[in-house]
Amino acid sequence: MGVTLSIEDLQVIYKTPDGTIPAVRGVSLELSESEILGVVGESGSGKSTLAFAIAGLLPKNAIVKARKFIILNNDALSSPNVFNKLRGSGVFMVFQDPFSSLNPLLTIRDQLAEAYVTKVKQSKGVKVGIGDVDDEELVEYLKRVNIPDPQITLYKYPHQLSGGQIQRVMIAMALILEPRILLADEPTTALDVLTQIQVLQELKRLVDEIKTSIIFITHDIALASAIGDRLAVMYGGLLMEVGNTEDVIREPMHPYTQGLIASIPSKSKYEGLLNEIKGIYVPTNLNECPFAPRCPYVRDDCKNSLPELRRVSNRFVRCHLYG
Amino acid sequence: MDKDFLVIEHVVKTFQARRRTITDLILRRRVPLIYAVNDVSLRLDKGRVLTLLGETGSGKTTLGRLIVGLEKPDSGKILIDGEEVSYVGSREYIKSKLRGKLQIVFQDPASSLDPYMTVKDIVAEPLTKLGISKRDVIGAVRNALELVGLDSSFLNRRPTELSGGQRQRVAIARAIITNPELIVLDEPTSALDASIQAQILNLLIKLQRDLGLTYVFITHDARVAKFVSDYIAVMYLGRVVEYGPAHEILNKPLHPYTQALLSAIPEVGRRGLPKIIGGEVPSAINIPKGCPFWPRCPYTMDKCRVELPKEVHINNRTIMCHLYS
Repeated sequence: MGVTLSIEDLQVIYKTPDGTIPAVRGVSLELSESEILGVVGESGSGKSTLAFAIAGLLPKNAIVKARKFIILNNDALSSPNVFNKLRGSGVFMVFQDPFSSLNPLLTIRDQLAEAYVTKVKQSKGVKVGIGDVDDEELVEYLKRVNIPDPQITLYKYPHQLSGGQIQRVMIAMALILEPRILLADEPTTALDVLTQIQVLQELKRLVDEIKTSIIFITHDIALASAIGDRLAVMYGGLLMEVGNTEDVIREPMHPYTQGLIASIPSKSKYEGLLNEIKGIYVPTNLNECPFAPRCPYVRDDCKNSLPELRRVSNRFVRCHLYG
Repeated sequence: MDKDFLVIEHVVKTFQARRRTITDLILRRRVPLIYAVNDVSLRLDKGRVLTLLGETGSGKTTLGRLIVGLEKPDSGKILIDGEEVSYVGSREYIKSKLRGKLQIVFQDPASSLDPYMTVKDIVAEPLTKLGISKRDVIGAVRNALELVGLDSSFLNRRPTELSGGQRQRVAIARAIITNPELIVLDEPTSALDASIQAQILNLLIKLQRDLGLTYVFITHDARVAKFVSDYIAVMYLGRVVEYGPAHEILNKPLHPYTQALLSAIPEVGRRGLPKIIGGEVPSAINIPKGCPFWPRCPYTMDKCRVELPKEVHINNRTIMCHLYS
């Protein structure tokens, strides 16, 4: 199995008028072909920033540093132009907000055709005009993502579609481009439960048919565990726990992961209240465990030193409880 | 009157699919109608939680808005504590004894709270609208904030300075300050992070018990429904297709749509994706003839394509499906 993505000590810092904000604080990841990595975290955890960094779509005030940042055998640190070459059939991203992901001035047809043209150009080196793309070909892709009346939808504009439909158009675009790495940032939060499963099935098909690697970002650990081979739990810009899905779910080690799993509603109110993680996310000092203010097992050393991400039996955990 | 505290009788609510244009007038053309809520009848006792469970377009939010009087039904009526709910824009509303007794909490606190107002003014507003002077409400505001777990340091803050969970607490404080009898909660936790969702659900259930509130809880998430509900009404394209005690519906769903909805929930520890029905909710303008669910139903019979199923009562449950008639 080939390695598609290899990151060591990735840091993303946002420069703002009020100072710098470290959004990703040293993330190391390796992703293989056909692998789905579920990234779980809440607002402020840095999970979206991580995806934007891999897609090369960070805003101008972001500073990226890394020891190693290799995407599909390209050194992403060498020049920002690397991303222009990769984006499309190399790296593709489905965004959280469906209403800002398509161009409002172009029909669905033209935007899908553009993806088609990009694919042909990147894979065969042949240039085709957007007008030359066969509608029937595009309709086939819309059918695969279950868009109703695909012939009609093809000539609609984004504002005429629902959030769920746009999200599926984005997935159709991914099916056209057949990317090696797909970054899916909460792609199903705007969708109904049944459509959500349909979209996940299509993503899974990309993995099975063309060995795409997927980074699936969500705040729902149950959803991540349904689709991910491995789970990476993020908090405060740091990886807190990384391991095989089964291991992490069966025996979560980090108190935050434990809290996330325990707080999923799974019982009736007559069986007692839900387990909750206390408090809210607040940025902490850099030499402190970011979860310390909410952790039920907090000790003195949690507030004085940031724990390392250490190997503990079958996974990696960042917590003073383990070493 | 604790039994049948909330009575919904054959309520229908339609919307025009688009605005009527001058061409429509000249051609005497009718604008197509969307049946958001289509002949819904439900009953609920006082102090209970009824969940409206369904997907986008099922009519659950419209029904919630009808219950608090934010919409006016085309036909049918809604009674709370024996009194008919009047539309908030109507003349009867001012005199209604239900005024202030019905509240609603919306899905997204970022857009439901006025960003220019302070927390104090937001929470006090329902009381000042009832004619109570600003000076007299501060005690009630503090009390309501305390009930939702916010101390007095929040009084002079504005919504933009708060996190999603804190904003939703403010929205809840605003809802309980008038001592309401019934609160409609429209997806109150779906915009929140997973770690905050449990906090807010626990808070809502504690308040419901302590204050003896009746809730109409709107959600698409069966996991949330399992925790909060006493009764569940499953909605599909404006109709209630299954209604009954929550534990019975969740343990043994009878309607094929309820079965499909419940099977699509990701569970921790269950690897792989659940098998689900295909298709998508048809548009509410072109509701299929016969049973609205037949194009997606795995058990479709000839009868389903032509005839709307009648409501059938099985034990404590009401089901709209030809399989049981």
